[in-house]
Amino acid sequence: MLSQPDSNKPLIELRDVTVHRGGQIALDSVSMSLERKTLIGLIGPNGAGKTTLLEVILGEIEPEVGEVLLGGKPRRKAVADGFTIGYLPQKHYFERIIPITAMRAVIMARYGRIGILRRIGKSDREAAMHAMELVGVEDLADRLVTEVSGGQLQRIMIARALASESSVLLLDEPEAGVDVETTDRFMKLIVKLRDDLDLGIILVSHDIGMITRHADNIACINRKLHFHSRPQELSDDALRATFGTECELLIHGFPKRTLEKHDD
Amino acid sequence: MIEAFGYTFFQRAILAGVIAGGLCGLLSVFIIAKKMAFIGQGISHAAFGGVALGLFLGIDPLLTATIFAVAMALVVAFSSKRGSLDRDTIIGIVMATSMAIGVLLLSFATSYTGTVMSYLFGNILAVGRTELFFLIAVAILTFIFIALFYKELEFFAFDEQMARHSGIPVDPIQATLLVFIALAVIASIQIAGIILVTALLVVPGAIAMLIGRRFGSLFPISIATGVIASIIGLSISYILDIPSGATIVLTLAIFFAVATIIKKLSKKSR
Repeated sequence: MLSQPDSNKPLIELRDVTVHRGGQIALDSVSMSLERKTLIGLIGPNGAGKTTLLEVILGEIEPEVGEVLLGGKPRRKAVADGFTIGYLPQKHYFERIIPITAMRAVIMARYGRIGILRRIGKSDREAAMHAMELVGVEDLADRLVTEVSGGQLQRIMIARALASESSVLLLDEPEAGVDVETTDRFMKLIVKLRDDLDLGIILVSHDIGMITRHADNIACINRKLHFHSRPQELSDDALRATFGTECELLIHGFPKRTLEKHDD
Repeated sequence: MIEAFGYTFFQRAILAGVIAGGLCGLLSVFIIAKKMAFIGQGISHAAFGGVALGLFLGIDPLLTATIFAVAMALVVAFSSKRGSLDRDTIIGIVMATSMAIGVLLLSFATSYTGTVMSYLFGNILAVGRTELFFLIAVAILTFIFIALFYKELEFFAFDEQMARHSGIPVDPIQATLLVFIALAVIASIQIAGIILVTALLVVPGAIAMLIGRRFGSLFPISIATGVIASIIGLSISYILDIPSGATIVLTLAIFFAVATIIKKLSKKSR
């Protein structure tokens, strides 16, 4: 369970995607692909198009040029065929005034798949509980989401993303608002989920050190996207090309990195 | 007091009060959850323009008020959040415009004063069969809508962004909910009046949020609050011969104060 039908096609594929926002180019001919059992770290300065890229994948923005394939199919067709994407937004905008238990919050991820006018079934409850067990929050099932810690809430929300049985996770700055230790535990969990469930994961982060420690590939974005398949070799030049400023990288265990310069 | 229950008009008043209290209590949960109190206010005040137009044209004011209220609900539903103006700003403009139309139309004649007052402040003892049937129909339809789309409404209320992302048809569900709120406002105007009907749509849900521990428990608390406040308010207004709408609203205010105190005490004792 918790995975979609096997396929040799990439989970996500962007082909020459271009998007404008507010009259400015936000994504400039971006191409990338996400395979199973792969964690891509997406880095870039503020306003570089990180969230826009996620919104394109989620279908909230239609690219003006290029196409988005999910599991080898055009986005709309894939979604119609039941392809789902687990998404952990940068901020949780849920209404904190409403008393919702962790279990209920997780099972909600299945409402779309259950369909209108249909009841929540036993299999939905089991899938939700299994997702909670995977991230170790089954003991919190009956607690209100407003009464758990930031780290626990983050894991509950990951369980919610998994409960929809997605093989793709998009994580938008999961380290925001939680301490370093919690972030570290969280990243170990994400890596374990990638390996155990064959997930394809895109992780947006400002924490370049964390990305280089855990990601299989790094995508630097500043309207254009540059792909680095060996994070430990991410160079200061590569970062400078993306961030447009001097930027020193400090990584434990990787005292010096080398990488070919970007062409632009 | 007991003999009052023997009168048809009082039986009808109590029945209307109970149904309106329960109906508004049911919708109140969503109004508080989605911070839509001002929308309720906007819809009820927009109805004033409709009442005035009905009186001016000599047609049933309830019909024209319904058209105005539903139009307001749809304007709110389709005024995109991505637009340049905030939703509350749009409500403020439409509400004030509708009320201004009402004031202008009523200025052409003075013979409506009594009727207008009964719409503004409610006159539950004058609830007719048509109004009662309209109220019952709206209550039944609202209940069916919420029962059928309970899980979608729950997701929409809790986390609109993720509901949208999960494929829940958020926009049609929100628009339908707003239309039902508009219909509930119109159906309850006879009981509480245009000015005070918002309290019926706000206070029961607020009390439920204060003391409810599960989403499902919010509805019985909110509905019971609306129903009990209506019965107590109507009875007191009959005994003391004071306006019914204001008495129901003041009863709700007392309930809210008590619920707030209980909540504070229970937090301290934890």
